[in-house]
Amino acid sequence: MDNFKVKLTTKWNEFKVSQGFKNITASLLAILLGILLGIIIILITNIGNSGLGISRLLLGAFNNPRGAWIGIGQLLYRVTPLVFTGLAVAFAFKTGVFNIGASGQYTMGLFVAAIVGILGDNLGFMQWPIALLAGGLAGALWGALSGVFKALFNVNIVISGIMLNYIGMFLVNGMLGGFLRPYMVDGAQNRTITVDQAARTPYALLDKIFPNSGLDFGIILAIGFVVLIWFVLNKTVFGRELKSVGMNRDAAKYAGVNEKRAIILSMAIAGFLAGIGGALFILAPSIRNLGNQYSLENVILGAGFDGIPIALLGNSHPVGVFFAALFVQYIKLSGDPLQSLGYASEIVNLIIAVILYFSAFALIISQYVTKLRKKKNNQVNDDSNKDNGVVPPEKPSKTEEVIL
Amino acid sequence: MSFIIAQSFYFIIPLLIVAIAGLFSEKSGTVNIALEGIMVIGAFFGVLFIHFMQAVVKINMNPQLLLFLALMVSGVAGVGFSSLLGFLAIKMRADQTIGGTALNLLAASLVVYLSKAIVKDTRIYFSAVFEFKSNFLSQIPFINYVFFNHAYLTTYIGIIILIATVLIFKYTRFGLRLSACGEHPQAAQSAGINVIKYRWAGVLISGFLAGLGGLAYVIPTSISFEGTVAGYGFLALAVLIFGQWRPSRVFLAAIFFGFFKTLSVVYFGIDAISGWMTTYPNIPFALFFRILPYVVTLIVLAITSKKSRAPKASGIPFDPLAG
Repeated sequence: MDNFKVKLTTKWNEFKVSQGFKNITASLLAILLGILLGIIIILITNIGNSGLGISRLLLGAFNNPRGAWIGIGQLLYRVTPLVFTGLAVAFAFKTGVFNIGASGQYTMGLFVAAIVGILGDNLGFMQWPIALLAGGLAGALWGALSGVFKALFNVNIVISGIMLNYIGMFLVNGMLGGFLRPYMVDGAQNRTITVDQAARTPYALLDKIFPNSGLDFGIILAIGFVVLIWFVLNKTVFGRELKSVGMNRDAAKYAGVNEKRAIILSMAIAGFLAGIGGALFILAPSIRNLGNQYSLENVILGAGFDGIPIALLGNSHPVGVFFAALFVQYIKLSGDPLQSLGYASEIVNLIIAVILYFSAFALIISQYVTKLRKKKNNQVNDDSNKDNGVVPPEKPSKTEEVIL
Repeated sequence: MSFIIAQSFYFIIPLLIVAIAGLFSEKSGTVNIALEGIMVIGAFFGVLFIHFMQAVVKINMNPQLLLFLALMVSGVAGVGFSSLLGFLAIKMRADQTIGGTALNLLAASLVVYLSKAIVKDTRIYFSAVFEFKSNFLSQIPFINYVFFNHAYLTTYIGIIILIATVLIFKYTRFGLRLSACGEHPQAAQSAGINVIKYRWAGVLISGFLAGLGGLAYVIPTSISFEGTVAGYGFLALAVLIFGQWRPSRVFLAAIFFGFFKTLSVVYFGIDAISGWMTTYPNIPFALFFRILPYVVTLIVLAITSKKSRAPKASGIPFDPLAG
């Protein structure tokens, strides 16, 4: 027993000084600052209701009037697309590419999955897997476009991503509002009709565990992809090659990695992930098997943009992304309960944006704090440092180079 | 034709102003992805100011003076918001792309939140009284139409900003030093230039112009503001790249992009195109023209991005102690 304890403490001490620990504390610091600001905004907007407002903000998924258990089910259901957009941004980030175009990839995936899901009547029980795959491939194509423009023509990937977001959104809305309208759109609501029963992702007994929460097989796929992406990035030569481009482009080139190919492939895979996210959204059976719809508004879907803070909070680590997505969706579920108190639900997106802002330099703050602590320790017992050798100076920036 | 050219100016001028905003920031060494967000903030506070003066105080003021004051409000709001970028990029030396993206998302949700809290609506309306409608040069109908009758104060402000920018970067010590900070900050520092101070100046000027440009975009093309400038800040970034970071070329690039943006709005008013539309009802012209500006941006960037003349140290944080 004692042996175990010692082992655990040494493990903990090792972890405490690791980069992963610093990243996690940095993310937590950013979250703390974001929520603090949210509380301040609630206090300023309407101090009368602020007690209830703050508690609803913090309760997140547990605001669900049907109880905490259903709240958790709904959180897991709603988080599924966000895990995928988070992975989409994170995966590209590992290759040093900033995938701001996840929204366009997500929209294309959603659109193509909807086409297969509504019009692919002869596919039988294969309809949902084919719709899902088609959505992923559409996203992959859209992501690869950005990669091709970067690799072959050196087009700034942020701008191509944004342009492809707009092109994708207008293209989808234009086609749905145009020649696809008679087949796919509910004219009165100006939304797509729901996908066929055979095209819906199965509940896989999850509706028995979390009744009426909408939770379906999508979450299991999401967890599967988290593991898969972790495996690809860490255990395969291909993944290591992609990562080497993100770490040090020159060294990667020297080692024989084809940078252009890496950028295109990385964006295609990122697009595939975002496309799957969009497809899983539209194919989800949702609560009581009512299905989901896409609304034909000329607005770029937020799910893709949410991938950015999620990837950053999760430090682009697949498992980190999963938990960051859970957090972001948790806070998002406070939106409607806050709205019913008179606080505009946008406060939730505001908090997430603030968290993204802080997480851009939270690592620097937390490194600064550890440095201060080290300095203090050094003054207290100067001798102890001799054993450890010299503490290497820490760089105040992320290790990945961002390709623009 | 006059109509289309007058319309084009409504799009060209804000593109020009915001691209120049990006120019000041990038010349000093800070990439400003947040232009879109700063435009949104500027437009919001400018429109809110106009709404307040027109509908709440109901003051009887010369519309041009009101617009000028509103533009200043927008500019100052832009300065305030861009200081967040300055803090992140210059003081904290953090990743400017991520920080800029955060500010874009922040602006979008902040504006809707404030709008709901202040005017209880996601839209803020204003009465469109700012067109010149003068017949100063009625002898030359075309010039009169574009520059006097259907012109806005923002057209002239945009042209003044362009000329001032050309002069600043060509002839003033400030402009040359600003460029030095974006090209080779270490050399600038050893020449005794306070790089940090110049970079702050670049970002804050950028914020002022982008905020002002946000309002300049909304006023001639709308009667309300709904929390978005439709990717205009990113188009302005594309204009800056296409213009190769040179003020005069940026102007030409703004004309080029502005033309396509105009086409996407007024295409059905052009006789030839409306003729095609009736001849070929199955071709989705509306969709084609809608995505045209964005597609053109991609193609043009693909052609011109190979040889980039971006300021060399743009986007790279500067540490004054690192030597």
